[in-house]
Amino acid sequence: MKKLLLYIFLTIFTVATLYPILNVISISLRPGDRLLTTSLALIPPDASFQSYVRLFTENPFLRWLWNSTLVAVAVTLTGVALASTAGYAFSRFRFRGRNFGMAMLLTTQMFPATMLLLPLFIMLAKLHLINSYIGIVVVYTATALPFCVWQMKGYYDTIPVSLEEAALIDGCSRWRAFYKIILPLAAPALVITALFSFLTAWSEYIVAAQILQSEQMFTLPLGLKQFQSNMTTEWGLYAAGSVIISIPVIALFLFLTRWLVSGLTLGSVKG
Amino acid sequence: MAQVVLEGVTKIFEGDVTAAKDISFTAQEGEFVVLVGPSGCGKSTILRMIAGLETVTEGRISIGERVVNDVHPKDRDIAMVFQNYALYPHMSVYENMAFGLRMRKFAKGEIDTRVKDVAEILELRDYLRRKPKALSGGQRQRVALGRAIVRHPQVFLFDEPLSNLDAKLRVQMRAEIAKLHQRLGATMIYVTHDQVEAMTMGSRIVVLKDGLLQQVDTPLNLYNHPVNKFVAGFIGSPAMNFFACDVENGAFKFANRNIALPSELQSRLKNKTILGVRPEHFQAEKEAADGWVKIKPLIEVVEPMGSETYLHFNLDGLTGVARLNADVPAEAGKSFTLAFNLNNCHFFDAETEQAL
Repeated sequence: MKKLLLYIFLTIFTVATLYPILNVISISLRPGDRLLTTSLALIPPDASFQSYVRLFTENPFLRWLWNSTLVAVAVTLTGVALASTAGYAFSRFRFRGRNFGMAMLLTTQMFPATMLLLPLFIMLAKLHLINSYIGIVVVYTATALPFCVWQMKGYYDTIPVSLEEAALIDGCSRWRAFYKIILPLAAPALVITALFSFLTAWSEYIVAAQILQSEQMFTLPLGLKQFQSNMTTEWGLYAAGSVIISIPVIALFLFLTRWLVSGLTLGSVKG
Repeated sequence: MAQVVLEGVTKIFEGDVTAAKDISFTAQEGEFVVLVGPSGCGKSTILRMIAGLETVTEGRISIGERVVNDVHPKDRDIAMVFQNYALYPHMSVYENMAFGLRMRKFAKGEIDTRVKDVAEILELRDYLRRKPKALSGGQRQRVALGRAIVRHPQVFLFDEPLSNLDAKLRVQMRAEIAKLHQRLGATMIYVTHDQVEAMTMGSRIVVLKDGLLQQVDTPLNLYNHPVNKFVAGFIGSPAMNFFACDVENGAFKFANRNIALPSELQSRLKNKTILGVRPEHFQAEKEAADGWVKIKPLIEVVEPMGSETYLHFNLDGLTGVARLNADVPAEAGKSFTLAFNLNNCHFFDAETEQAL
């Protein structure tokens, strides 16, 4: 009986999770903009890739895809580089302002991004970074970093200091001990950092809408919004775009999960 | 091989915690020096300063002819074995041992020869492809040793390397390290809190307490001639018994009795003196010679160890342990006569606790 309830519960949530995804796929395959059809068929009887074709031929979708990729990759690389080193410093060194710094990183997480929109816009305007990728990469990285630094620091804390000390004695400089010994062991945390940074940049809309103003520079979420005008919405295009947007995320996730294994430091020291 | 010299070495940590104060000693070329003391005595800090993992607040450390205070650990030509092994978990046994040589840009062939030779000595040949997590505690400890040996360093440092092993393995590894020392003839500095390890392994022992050096000497000299009450109590197992007593008119008062002192002792002793008797210096009455001091305490616990028997006794409130032959006819709850020779005893100033 308990099991039955559990299954019902799980089924409801599975449906709730899967239905929107399947629905979007279904809409993307419908010719025209038949959003509100009552048919439950996943693949509509007159299915066509018309929306997908139009997406690439009649719209600068490829351009937006490229823009988004550029921004997300830049944010991911900067995020990983900064979070892995900053987290290491917070974990291993005792310096003035360490606790304050950690607290400040946490504090930034308390404010919603929308609240920071205006000051960010003013700052970027003064720096002439409006409508520039550097501007948006800086903002996205800054948004993703606090969480990433914290979780990198947390992970480094679990790696015994004696491993670096052994490496120092074995002939490594501090930096070499870090990237030869510690960084490989921190792979699971690096993966989280990379995923988090990538996702922050890939699907963000509000900040992008403020900073990027020319259609040529739009990222995918901004591009999608283009299909929605005052009078009509191109649901077919919208859905097809959504499906394509989600593919790289899924691919990246599947690719990175192989490093998401725990217990990498197992056996290094007596537990 | 090189000698290691510490001159007035002091370490003060942040917040004014003094971990080691004015420590001076020399580990000669090829010597096996053991740093021993209770936890918090500063022994690991001293080792870490020699390794370069801690800075030196004051004083000088030299390895060979070179003062190394400001030399990076990688340039000190030392190897260290850590208490928790500190093996690189993402590398195989082979890579763990080869890592230090690779960092020092040795030729591939040379690395291979050295690693395989050492693996042979330490019986790790069959495990070279394994990761540390697939090894037992003893094997991991041997890999940690191997990683140090392949480098042929000038000085080996050991930071309580055996304390994570079970008792049987510890005895085995103790012998292996001692053999290794004979074979390599290298200078070794070994930290432990276990006085048995210190006594059995060290050519010389440095006894520390609260960051202060107490005595540096050979194991037997420490045992026979401790400079103070702490060293006397720390070296030897079971520990030395201490009895506070007053000295008056050439006799000392011990357990409500006046015991006449031999003339050569009279001048040395002060009014307030602590008498130290090692458990093994007690004998049953029948084995005592003339002139020995006899006491008749209540035996509280009898501990038969097989080869010998420990008697925990209580003499009018003074408690102690005696170590006698296995066949001693003592019974718990009854009194039993014990004898000891004053010439085997140690005397300490009650105030300074220094030996008299």
